Amino acid sequence: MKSLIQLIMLFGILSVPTYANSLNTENEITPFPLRTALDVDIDLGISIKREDAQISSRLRVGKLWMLNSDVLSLGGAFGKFSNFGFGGGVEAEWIHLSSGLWTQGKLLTTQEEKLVLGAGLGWSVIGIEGIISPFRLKTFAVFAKVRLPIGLGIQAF
Amino acid sequence: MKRIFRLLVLTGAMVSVISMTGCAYGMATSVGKDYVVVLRQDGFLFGALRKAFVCKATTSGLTGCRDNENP
Repeated sequence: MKSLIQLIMLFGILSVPTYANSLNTENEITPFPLRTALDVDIDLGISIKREDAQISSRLRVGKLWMLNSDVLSLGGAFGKFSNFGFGGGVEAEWIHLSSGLWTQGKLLTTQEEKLVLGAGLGWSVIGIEGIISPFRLKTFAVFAKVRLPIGLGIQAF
Repeated sequence: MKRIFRLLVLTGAMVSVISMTGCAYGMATSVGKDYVVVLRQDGFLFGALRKAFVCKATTSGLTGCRDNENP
């Protein structure tokens, strides 16, 4: 199970530069305008581990960049992270608007652990997220979550 | 729990496939002589972020795409 979490995180870390590289080639200039906006995102989650059904909630505030059908968000994340307690850190996210798929990664410090890594995947407003302490691999949490993308929602108007 | 991780890996694989092959735009139609309307799909917020861009068509491709404009 530990190796699976590590594999997922490795996959997430490797996929970001690969995807970023595919967005822009030297000879290609996208004709579509780049948009930036305030990013505000709230999510609520519940731990999937049956014996430990803890609530997770977080607020992310930052900036988003929208180009073509891709949205990249970067901001500070604060909230309660399941059994890790309250904490904060930085979070990055990529959303593919056309398909609705998204992936995100975060680096946190919490009451229980000095360093926590997190990765999430999902579609539209639902998703799944795993967070783990890299120093104590037995300490981890997996939760299902729903999200409220306020910053992106404002872009619809 | 194993099923959850399998689901995560499968979703990750889907994301990578879409990021490499997925088409961001669903429809394009010509308007007038020089302009093309390109529609961006939205599967994220159930169509709320669907947007139509008006682009100028040139021999080198589309240029100067704008939204909220009439061709």
